Amino acid sequence: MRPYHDIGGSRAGPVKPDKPKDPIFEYSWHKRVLGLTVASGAMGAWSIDTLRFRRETLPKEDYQSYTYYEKWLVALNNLFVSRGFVDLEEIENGVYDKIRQPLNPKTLRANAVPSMLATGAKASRPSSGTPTLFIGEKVQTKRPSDTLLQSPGHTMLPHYAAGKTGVILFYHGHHVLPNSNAHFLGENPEPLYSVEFSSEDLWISAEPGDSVIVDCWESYLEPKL
Amino acid sequence: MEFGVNIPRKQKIRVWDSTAEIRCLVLPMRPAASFGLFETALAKWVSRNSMIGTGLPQAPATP
Repeated sequence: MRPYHDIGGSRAGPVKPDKPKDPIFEYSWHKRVLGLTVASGAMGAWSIDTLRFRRETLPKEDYQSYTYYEKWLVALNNLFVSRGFVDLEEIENGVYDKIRQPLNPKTLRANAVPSMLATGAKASRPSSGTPTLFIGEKVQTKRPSDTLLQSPGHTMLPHYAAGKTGVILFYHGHHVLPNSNAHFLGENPEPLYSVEFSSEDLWISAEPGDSVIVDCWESYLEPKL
Repeated sequence: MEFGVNIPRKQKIRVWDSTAEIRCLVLPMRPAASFGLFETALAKWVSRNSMIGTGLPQAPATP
């Protein structure tokens, strides 16, 4: 079954693009949520995959009614509480006053922010073993639910590309496996491939010759014989 | 279409879905009318949308 956050390819209403002169942050609190997310991420207590999993598993009504940064803020709050960094009472009172273990020493200092934002966090890892699939090989994607390492769980395989036949276009080396890393099960890097699918195989109505390219980890794929 | 971009029917389209941490740099296709221009003049043709794959380079309003 398609999870409610996985809406790729379905009708989701009109897109309202920003105008060239629109501000980068619509409200100043959006900027603070981004800052809070980056600063707390630097503690190394969770990964970007954990955050994505927390956002996509917000209750359905919340997920569908919250704006982008509302999802970010609520998912981050939930993570702070569930990992024991703050409790609900403190969030309600706006006062951080409980005695705890010392905070993580990997504090992100203000002068380190620009370089951190400029370089980002690498998801590629040294290759550990050879890829089992080759460029030009015909492959079939699994069902997203068959790629989960726990249930409910996180995967980057979209529903629209599930169970479809495509061709390996690129091999990107080994990358951290979000399905594992989101749940504190380790990075378990895997070969990552760009897989090209014919639009006609994905959509009911498509132009011949058009295609969609999806990045897939090796465990999402099976050779198509 | 969604971003106000009209693409000719015969134009082949390849959509790149960024499901991993791989990010793409978009090189906008050069409009025929811009040939012969140098860097500073060309820069005026480039918009944010043309660099993120949701628009085509447009001739600047005034030369």
